Amino acid sequence: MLDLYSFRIFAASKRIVVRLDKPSDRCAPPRAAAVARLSPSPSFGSPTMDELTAFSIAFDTALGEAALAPDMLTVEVSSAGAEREVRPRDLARFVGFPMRVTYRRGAEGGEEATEVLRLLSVGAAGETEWALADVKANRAHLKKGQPLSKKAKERRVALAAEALRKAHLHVDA
Amino acid sequence: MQASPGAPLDTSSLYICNARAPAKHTHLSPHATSRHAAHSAARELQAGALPCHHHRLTLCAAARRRRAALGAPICWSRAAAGGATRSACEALERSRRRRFPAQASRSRRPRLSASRPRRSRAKLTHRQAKAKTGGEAAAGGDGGGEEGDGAEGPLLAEESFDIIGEDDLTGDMEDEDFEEYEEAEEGVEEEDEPEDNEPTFVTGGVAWGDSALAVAQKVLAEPPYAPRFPQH
Repeated sequence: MLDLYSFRIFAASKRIVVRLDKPSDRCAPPRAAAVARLSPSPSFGSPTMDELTAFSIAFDTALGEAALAPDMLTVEVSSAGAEREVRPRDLARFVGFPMRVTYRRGAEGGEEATEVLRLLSVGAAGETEWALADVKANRAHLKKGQPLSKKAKERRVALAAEALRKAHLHVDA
Repeated sequence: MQASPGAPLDTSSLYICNARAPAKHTHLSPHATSRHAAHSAARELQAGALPCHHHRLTLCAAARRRRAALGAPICWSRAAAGGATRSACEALERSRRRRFPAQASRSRRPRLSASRPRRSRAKLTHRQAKAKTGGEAAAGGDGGGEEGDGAEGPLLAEESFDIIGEDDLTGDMEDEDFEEYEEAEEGVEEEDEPEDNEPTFVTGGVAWGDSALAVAQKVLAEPPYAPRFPQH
């Protein structure tokens, strides 16, 4: 079952860009970037190429039948992307995944911070608990091969729903 | 894995792999004659040659309407270095070589007419600079990007390359066609290429926008999507 992740029309270039999500694609989160690279199956809510093809054909046919759009039109159908923004309602799907999180520190009006964190849990009211993700971006200041300190690993960030500004899946490139 | 040769994917005049390292975006636009290569490459990507879930994999089927009008049956790849995009292009190259082994030994540079200057190296350098500023430093200089014939190992040079023309695959590509096509592509990129990792719904202010969105939602609400290219 596919879901519409984003839908954009660029009038000037006569282009429709459709991004599809696959909520049913729930695999275990990657334990390490290396494992994720070797994983044979998409685990980020990615539709398969066949599904993209099927939707592309069906959408193209339906557009043609409806005779809505100009004939000279580009339709791009793709997955939501590796570094997609995670909508609040999708957070629970990505527990365990590293994300680049922008959040507000402290009370209302506090400064914003952006860090690569790993989602630990999501509460019923949308509150979230995070830990520092063990990714290259967070080890940049360390010597090569040096792991995160115990203190860094045990650090927890608890965020209320309104404190979480934005979260993108993080890919350790 | 094999794509169904008779599948009505499209009647596109182009087959493109437009892999952009910073954007982690691999763009496939299958051509009628290279459809097999496009799909086998896509499957290869999905099978682990490339972490495609780390990439956005775009299948651009309906692009035929615009691109066909350009009348330029070409097949080209562009990458701004970076391991992942290079892997994508290598996967495509492997597929094409399997599909068209006799043609793999020929030069993949597009044929340029004598009346027009060859694409300037300055432009390539500019692209490389853009790629570098995009966070994916292109390794090495502008070593040309010509491939060895049938060589083992990496199919693409380490350095950033610009174009792999495929005039012998899908027909001749005239320089004018290429320029026109590229201008159209670049125009799109520079004009309105979005930061599209966000779940937004924008109908562009066109009268048919909302209706098109409704069509997409309706199509999605009518599963199942039977795979047209079943895996073997």
